[in-house]
Amino acid sequence: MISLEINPELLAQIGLVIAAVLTLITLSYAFRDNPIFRGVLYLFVGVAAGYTAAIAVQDVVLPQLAYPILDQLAGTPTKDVLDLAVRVGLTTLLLTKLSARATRLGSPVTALLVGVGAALAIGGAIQGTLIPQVGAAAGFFDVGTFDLALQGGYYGEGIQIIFEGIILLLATTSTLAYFHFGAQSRGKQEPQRNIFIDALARLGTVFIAIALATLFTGVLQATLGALIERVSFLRDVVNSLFGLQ
Amino acid sequence: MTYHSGQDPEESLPDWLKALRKRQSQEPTSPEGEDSSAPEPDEEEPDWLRDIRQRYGFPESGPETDSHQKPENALSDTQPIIPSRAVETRPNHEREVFSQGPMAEEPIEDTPEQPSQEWINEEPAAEVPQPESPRREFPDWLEELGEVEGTAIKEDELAPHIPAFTEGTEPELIPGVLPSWLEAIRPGGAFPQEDTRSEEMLPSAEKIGGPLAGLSGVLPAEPDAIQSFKPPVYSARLEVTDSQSQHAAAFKKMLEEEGKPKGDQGHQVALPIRLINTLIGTAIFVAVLVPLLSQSQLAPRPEPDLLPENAAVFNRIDVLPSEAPVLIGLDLQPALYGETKAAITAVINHLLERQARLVFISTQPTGPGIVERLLQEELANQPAGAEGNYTNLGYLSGGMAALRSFFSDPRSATVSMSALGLNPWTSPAFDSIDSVSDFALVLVVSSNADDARIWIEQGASEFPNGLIAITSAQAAPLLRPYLQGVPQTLQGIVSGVQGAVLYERLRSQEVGGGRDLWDAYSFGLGAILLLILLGGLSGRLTHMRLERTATKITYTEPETKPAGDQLGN
Amino acid sequence: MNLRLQTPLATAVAIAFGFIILASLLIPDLMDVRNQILNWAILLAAIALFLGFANLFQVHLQKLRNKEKSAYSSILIVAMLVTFAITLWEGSQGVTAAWIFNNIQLPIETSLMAVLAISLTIAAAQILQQRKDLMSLVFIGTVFILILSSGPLFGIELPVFTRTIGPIVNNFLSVGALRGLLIGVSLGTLASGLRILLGSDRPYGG
Repeated sequence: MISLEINPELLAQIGLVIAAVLTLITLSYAFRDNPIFRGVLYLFVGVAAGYTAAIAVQDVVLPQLAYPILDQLAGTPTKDVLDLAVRVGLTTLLLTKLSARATRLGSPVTALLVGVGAALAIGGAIQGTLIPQVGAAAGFFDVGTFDLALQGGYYGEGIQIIFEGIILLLATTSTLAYFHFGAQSRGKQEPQRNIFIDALARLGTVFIAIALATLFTGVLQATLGALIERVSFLRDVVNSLFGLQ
Repeated sequence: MTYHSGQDPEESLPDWLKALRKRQSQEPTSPEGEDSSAPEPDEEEPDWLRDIRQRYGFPESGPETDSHQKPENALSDTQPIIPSRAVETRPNHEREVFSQGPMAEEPIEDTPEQPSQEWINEEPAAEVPQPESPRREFPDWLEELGEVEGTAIKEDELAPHIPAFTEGTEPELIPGVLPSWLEAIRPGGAFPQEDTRSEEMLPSAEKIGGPLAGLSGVLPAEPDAIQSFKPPVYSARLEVTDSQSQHAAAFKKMLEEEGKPKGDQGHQVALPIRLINTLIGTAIFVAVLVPLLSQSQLAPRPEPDLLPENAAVFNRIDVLPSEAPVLIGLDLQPALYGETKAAITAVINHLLERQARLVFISTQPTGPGIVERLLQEELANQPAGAEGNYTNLGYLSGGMAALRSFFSDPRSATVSMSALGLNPWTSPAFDSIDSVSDFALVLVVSSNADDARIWIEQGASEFPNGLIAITSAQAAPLLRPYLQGVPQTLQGIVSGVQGAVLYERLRSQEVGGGRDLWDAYSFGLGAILLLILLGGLSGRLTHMRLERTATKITYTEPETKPAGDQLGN
Repeated sequence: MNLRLQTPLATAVAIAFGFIILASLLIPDLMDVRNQILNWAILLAAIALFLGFANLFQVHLQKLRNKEKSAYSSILIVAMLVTFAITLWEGSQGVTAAWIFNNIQLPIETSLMAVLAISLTIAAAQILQQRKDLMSLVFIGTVFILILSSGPLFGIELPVFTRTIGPIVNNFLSVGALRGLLIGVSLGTLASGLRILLGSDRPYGG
């Protein structure tokens, strides 16, 4: 490892100042676009790309490919020869994607990645989302609790359970109906959805608006938190530089 | 072309043929040594002619003509073919007469009009070896013409051709009219007197058009059998409505723009709008800065029962035994590190207080760097954190595939720590860990819902003790349905600044990262709400004013001229 | 190899490996095969990450040669190469690499997210100017309610929103709709994945 022969505290201070300056330049975009901000943007892209690529090469490519090849050549194999040969072959084919003429040679490798990803996505979607969420949608009518409520004379709570179940099920089904675009042809007239589906879809518009508003508010809160953290950072830098509180 | 009895064959000919015959009849004879007296028979005799020859004993064409086949004149076969009678018992002189019939004296021009007469005018004296033909019985009418002088026809030769009529005895052949001798030899009743052709085949039939116009005796090609009209053109145009066209155009535009690289151009905004944006930005900035500078704690913290999912996380961690291994998946984007820092710090502090053994892993390349920063800066006051009582497995490349591989067999997964030659699994802390289910708790820290959802989907069956999430405020809404899933795949969520403040309150912390930000958060949200309200109202009022102005202009009546002024001008 | 053979070969590879992975989720005996394939996929994913870096470098180098926005491209290339070299040499835990990450990448990235708060506020203020239909009204009304129920505003808490209306919207109305969205997303994932495994869709250039 190489470490710069600079006082670590000084280095840290310089880093803080640079970070503060970069933060101010970036925040200035909220008021007006300017060339300095664009330069900072390109700097960010370069640093992020270089950092990510270096991590990928150092932590995966070298230990999983380069070093086993060297070990194999040195006579101290650490991986199965066939496995290593497949890795070298696949890597070579994938690297052809850099060339415009030979890019199609890398198609089988990208196909492998796509096929594996698709299979994992299918399994995860069914097991992790579809089954639990459909189960939750079907379990809105908490029959056991409703029965207990009736037995205990809590009729208000019982009605509330029923009402909640209806609303939640309606919200789920109407949202799904909104994205149903199947319609019967009517000759020269515009195709029209089934009247029941259409009514459900119109109700779904309201629920989707509510859902989108919830997501929007979440993003607003997240970005506000980020803004607060940045302003707090600037405050700390100023305090640190000028020896304030 | 058929011949209709009683009708001049020449009349049935088409005009072009008539004209051609006429022209050819006017042409001079060919200078080449064609023997006009000697008929030039066709090399290939028509069958009917041959049949007549055979039936009545007429010789075929001579050897000269066989050997010196003169080329057939053009359209020679268009001339009416006038057969001759087969005379085999005539006296020689009569034969001579016959042979020297008008056709012989009148040099038969080798014309197209009468090519078939050439065989009539050939030399009668030439004894041409004829093919054998059986002796025939001659009809009575033939015998009436003269005695047979006992000259038997040689078995091997036929009598020479004798013209059917002599000069002067018969009038010249009129085209289209059967000569009397031909009429005489015509078998009675063999030819129908009536034209049995259908009306459609008659030349006078109407509606015969197209390429066969003018020809007689042809099957009509129209109107029933074949219609020579242009086939109908069926439009291949797709019938779309206006709204469908608009949607298709919009979709096409979207797809076209998708492939185009977006220009790296500055976005110029009009001055008034820029001013408003500046005011909004300044208002929010001031609303956030003032509480931070004043470090006020005016805003009350939320009640613990406000967010039950927060309490669920607290309860899960609070019952962990000492030295319990906890897996923390830090899939956090650096952009939202600042917002989630307070929540992460609060939860990890709680875990460290419970003396849990923390194992960090990340599917983001920046994850290990964030872990180090978190532990060295935010958790430096924690003894466990300061001592490094944790394990950072590093970066797990491959996203979904890597997670699946890790959940199946964590020890063989490709993590950067092991890649760097540091095998963390040899540590005594990992003696009890063979699979992911051996961890007492699995915790995922993510900035967006997709990353957390991948952990939930890929590890749903691998976490018997459940999964909890520390997320940004933007991811929480999409993860809440998993809290109510059946089976439940997510046990609890701590999200955003509000979640951090609540968690600190649950841990009875009076100070913390969340509390420091809470006032600024409260004032900032208030400023945002006011700005949205004011902006919306002002926009609405401006719009209404513009609409009113536009309505006034529309309804302004034009000035009407008076019909005439009072002075009579 | 004839490049025309790549299309059916790529499709066959995608289908074959996809079905092996899918089968391994149901058949435990195929777990070793699955792990081997996943290890290959992990390596290839890292290579693909490096390919993205190389492509970005190529593009901006070309811009530099064409003198097209050359100043910005030169900043990017220099930053990219320096960071790559230092991080590769030191490792992500190295002093200089960590310094670059903590003082350049992290502040800029966080600040970009912070700017979004102002942009979203401006956008929300203009919603009712742009369109005035049911969806917009419900949208902006829900945003109001949720902000009011997020906590105290200007230090003042409104219990009717934070304890009654807010939980109804958050845990009741929006959860149902978001559940519908999640089911729809998973169905779409299922359909897209099956299309790839059946060869109908070939996003890999086949």
